Amino acid sequence: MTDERNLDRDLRELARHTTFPPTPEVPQTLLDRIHESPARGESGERPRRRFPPLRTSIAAATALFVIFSAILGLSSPDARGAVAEWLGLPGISITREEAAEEAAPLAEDFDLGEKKTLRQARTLAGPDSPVMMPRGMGEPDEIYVEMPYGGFRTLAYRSRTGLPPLGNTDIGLLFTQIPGDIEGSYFSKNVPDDTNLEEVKVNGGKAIWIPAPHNVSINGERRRTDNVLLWEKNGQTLRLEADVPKDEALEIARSVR
Amino acid sequence: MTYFITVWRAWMEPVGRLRCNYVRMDLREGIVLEDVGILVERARRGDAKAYEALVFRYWEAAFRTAVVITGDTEEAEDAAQEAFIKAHRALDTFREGSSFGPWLLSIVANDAKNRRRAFGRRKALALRASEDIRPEDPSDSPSASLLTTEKHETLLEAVNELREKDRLVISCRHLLELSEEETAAALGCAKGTVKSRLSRAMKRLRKRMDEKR
Repeated sequence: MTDERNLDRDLRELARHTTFPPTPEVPQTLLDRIHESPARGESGERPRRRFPPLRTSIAAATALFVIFSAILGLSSPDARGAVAEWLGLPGISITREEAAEEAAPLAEDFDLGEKKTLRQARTLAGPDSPVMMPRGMGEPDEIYVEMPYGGFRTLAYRSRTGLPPLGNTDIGLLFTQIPGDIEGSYFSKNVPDDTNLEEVKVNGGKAIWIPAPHNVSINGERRRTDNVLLWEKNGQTLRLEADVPKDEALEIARSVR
Repeated sequence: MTYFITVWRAWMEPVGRLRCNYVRMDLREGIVLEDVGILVERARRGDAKAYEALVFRYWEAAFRTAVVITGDTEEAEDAAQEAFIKAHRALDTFREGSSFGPWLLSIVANDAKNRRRAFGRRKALALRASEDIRPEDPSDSPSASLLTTEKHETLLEAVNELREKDRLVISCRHLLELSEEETAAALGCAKGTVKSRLSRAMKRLRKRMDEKR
C-alpha cells in the first residue's frame, strides 16, 4: 500500500523530473502594450506629468536640454538630473561638452544598478560578501551595485591591451558578482539547441563557458554580449564578459579574490 | 531548503535561472518580497520598465500555471499574456503590502479557466516525465534510471487520470511547486480549502497508484 510519506516524496521527485512544454519568449506585443498604456495610479488617474510624455529619443532630449539649459543656465549635475526627470526621461545621462575633463562614462547605459565608489561598494557589501576582483588589473574604472541588496555588483574595466572593447563600448571587461549559485540540472536540461556551451572548471569548481555572440537579458533589456564565463565561488555566481579566448578568461577567473 | 528565485533583476544568460541559497530562510523571503514590492510600487506609479521586469519574472510561472489548467500551450500563452495586460490595468486595485505572485496567478487562472470552459472538454495535462539525467552520479546504472523514469511516468499518468479538482491542486502544489497562498489564488479558494482539497486528492491518488501495481 502506498503510504503518505512515500507518495509525497515521489511527487517531489516527479516535480524535479517533470518536463513542462518549453516556455515561449515573452511576446513583444505584450511589452509594446505595457509601454503604450501606463498603469493607472492609486488615484485612478494616469500618473501625472507636468508635460505630455515625449518620445525617448536621445536626439530630441539633447536638443531640448540644450534649449532649456541655455534659458535656465543650468550647470550642476543635480539640476541636469532634475531637468531630465522633468522631461519624463529619468536615468538619461546628458554630458555637457564643458565636462570633457571627466572620463567618459563606461557602462552607465547598461542598467547595472547604482554607480558607487569601491569604498561604498565594500561598505554596502558588508563582511559576509566581500567585493571580489580579478587580480593584476588595478582597480575597476566603474562599479555598479544593484540596490536594495549590495551583494549584486558589477565591476567595469576600460579596454586596454589584451582587453579589446566590447561591442560599441569602451569596456574591456565586465565582472559581476551575483549572490546565489548556478542550478546545475537546469543547465543540462534547458539549454537552447543553438547555444554552444561548454562546461569547464575554475579552481575545481563548476563553470560554464558561453562563446559569443548570444543574448542576455538584464532587467528586461536585451543586448548582444561577448564571450562569457560563469562560475561559482563561495556560494556566489561570478560572471566575466570580455572579448578574450577561453584560456585567458579562465586565467582571469582563477585570479579572482 | 533552497528557494528558486528567478532573479530577473539580473543577468539571464541562456543557461537559465539562479538559485539563491546564500541567506537564512527568513531573510530570503524578505529579499524576494522587497524586490518585487519595489517593482510593484514603481509600476503602480507608471514605471513601465518596472512592470516589464515583473512580467519577465513571473512569465514562466504564469505560463506553466495556464498550461496546467488549459492543457494547451497556445491557449496557455494567450492566457498568460492577457493576464499580464489585465493585471497592468488593474494595478491600482492591488493592495499595497500584499503578495504580487498570488494576485497575478489568480488573474492567470481565471483567464485560463474561462478559455478552457469555452473550448469544452479538458485536454490532458501537457507534461511528461523526463529521463533521469544525473551526469555527476556515475554509480547510477542505466536500468536503475529506466526504472525511475517508469515510476515517474506511472505517477504522472495517475495524476492525469484524477478528476479536475484533484489534478489541479496536486499539480499546483507539487508539480508547479506553488505555495499554499499561490495555489489558493490559482484555484480561487481559501488557503484552508487548499489543505483539505490536497489531502483528499492525495488519498485518491494513493488509491489509484495502488490499483496500478
